[in-house]
Amino acid sequence: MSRIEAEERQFSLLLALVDTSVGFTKQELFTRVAGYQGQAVGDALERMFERDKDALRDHGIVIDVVQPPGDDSNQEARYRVLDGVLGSPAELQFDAEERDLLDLALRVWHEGGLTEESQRAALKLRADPEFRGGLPLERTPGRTSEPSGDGAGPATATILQPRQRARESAFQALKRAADRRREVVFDYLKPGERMARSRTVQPWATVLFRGRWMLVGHDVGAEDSRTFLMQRIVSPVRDRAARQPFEVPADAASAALAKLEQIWASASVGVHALPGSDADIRLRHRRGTTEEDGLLVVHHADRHLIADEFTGFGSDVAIAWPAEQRELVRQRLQRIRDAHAEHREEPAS
Amino acid sequence: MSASRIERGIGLLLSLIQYVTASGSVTVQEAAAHFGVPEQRIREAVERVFMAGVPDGAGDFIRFDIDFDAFEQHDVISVTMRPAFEDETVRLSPREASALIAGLTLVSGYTGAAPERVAALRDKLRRAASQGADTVAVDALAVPHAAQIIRDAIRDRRVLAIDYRKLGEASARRRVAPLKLDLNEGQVFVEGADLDKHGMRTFRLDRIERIEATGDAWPDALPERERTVAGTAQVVATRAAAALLADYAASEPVSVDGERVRLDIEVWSEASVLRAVAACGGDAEIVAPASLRRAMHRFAVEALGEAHHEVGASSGE
Repeated sequence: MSRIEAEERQFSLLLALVDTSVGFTKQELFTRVAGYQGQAVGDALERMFERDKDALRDHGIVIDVVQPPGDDSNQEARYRVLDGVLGSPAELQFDAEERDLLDLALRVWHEGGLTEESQRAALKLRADPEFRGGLPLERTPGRTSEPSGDGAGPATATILQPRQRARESAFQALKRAADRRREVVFDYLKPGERMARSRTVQPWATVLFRGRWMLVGHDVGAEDSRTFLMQRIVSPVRDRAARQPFEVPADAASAALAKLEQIWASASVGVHALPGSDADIRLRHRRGTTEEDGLLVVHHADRHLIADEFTGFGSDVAIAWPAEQRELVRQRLQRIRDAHAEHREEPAS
Repeated sequence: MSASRIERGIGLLLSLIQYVTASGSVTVQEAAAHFGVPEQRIREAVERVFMAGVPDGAGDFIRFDIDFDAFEQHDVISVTMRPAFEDETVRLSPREASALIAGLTLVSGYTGAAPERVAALRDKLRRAASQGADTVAVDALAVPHAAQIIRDAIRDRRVLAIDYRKLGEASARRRVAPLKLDLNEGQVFVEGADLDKHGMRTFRLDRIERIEATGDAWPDALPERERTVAGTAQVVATRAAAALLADYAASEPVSVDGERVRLDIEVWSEASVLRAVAACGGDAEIVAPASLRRAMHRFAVEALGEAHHEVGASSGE
């Protein structure tokens, strides 16, 4: 089977690359690596080599190319494993409490989003015979919870079931493109707008903020960095070679998160909530909510998203200020009223 | 995206080398259980690893070696020679480390682990990762005090009294034997046995008004979980709104025109469904049943009345 051959070949390639400090030229690799040996040098072999490099990258093994000065033929370029990819096995050993925490941390990504990374991480951590946590590498249909490994007391994972889904189908495509420094093109339905618009973005990072996944990147059309809600990417994500090669800022994710926190802190709405109503209780529990002159002051990161949330609370809430926010909610309610008016009803009975 | 793809490829080979070395000698069965893969997959991986080697200067290979008799006759894996990965291993990739750190950020507050221990673990993970841009980040949510009380009650098997406001009803006191905290997309839920209603229930943490531990006896037997769905409703929505309703969806969305999709959603509480549809901000429309359509219409009219009243009250200035 071809997957067995590929696995052997990639492992052989890795062993060769690990074994060299100065690196190997492509020709040397082609003669030394089982799986390349004996194959005719040409486009097919080159493509196989590129695919294998990609597969190794998926495991976190980045292959570095060193071009000798003055050579641009690509024949003398040397390939080696990037510094820092390899470390001591001791770095991945953890004590019992740490293992318990890591088990739980991995379970957060039970489905979608970061599942693949979590499974790969679990696989690496299980090199330590003491580590039994994390996600099952193979899902058993019908079995949702794993028996806990350690016998001492209830494992934390039996008390706490964390899940952070990312149904957003765009997620995988965006991560792959970001790793490979490719640009992405997708249709985006901006909150508050009715028509999706095509965007071209250099993807930088993914951020989870108040339960929503977002893509952070450089919007090529807008010539500025932008944050996109993954849930509002309404087309498949296509990727392509970037017109301008780009680097991801080292602090892309944390900087974006800090900016969102700043927006959240400064944007607020004054709301009357019916005392004791569902809206009242939930808005009081919301991050940053305060009470001023009998009004709840509620924070948010986007006026359209908060308008949707207020609309969901119906007659439990009335917006006191700002007027613009009140208007956004009113428009939404009117659309709902009009869309559900009698004349659209089915003629039956 | 398929989960089973992960254990293929070289990840398992690399981990297996370290695992077997650290263990000294293990049976195929033990290794399969440890990694959660079929035994045959372990045997294949062993054969693959121990057929591979590092080319020496003369073009020959220095190969990994195991006790072959033990392997073939007794299914025991025992490494005798490692030409590579003697004392090194592949580190976590930046994204793998990010997944761990982000997961830790989301859950650690619920575990009772000391914050300094968590911070130290986070640093250790960063050090155990190869260099790369920081491409995943999550916001750390403050853990509500109620969640800590519930966590301790689950651990100590204590019955809780909670004042809970079910949507559309007055607040009521419930006696609950809590079983699990469910962290789902930024919302926290408590699963437990309602001792007065004799059934399993799920409570939203942000609808709990008061909570306290009681001295009531923990139930001997827990009731069966039941799920009652009153019916389904048909909704037409934009793709983005349909994604918001995915939790309720009973069918895959089907395209109706270029922009909108049709989907069925489960109605287990009319009030909840009306709120969920309204929270799409007008991008979702209930098509059927007619009674639910009318209820949605009434919901909007009443809310507009309230809003209008407020505007009137504050525009007297």
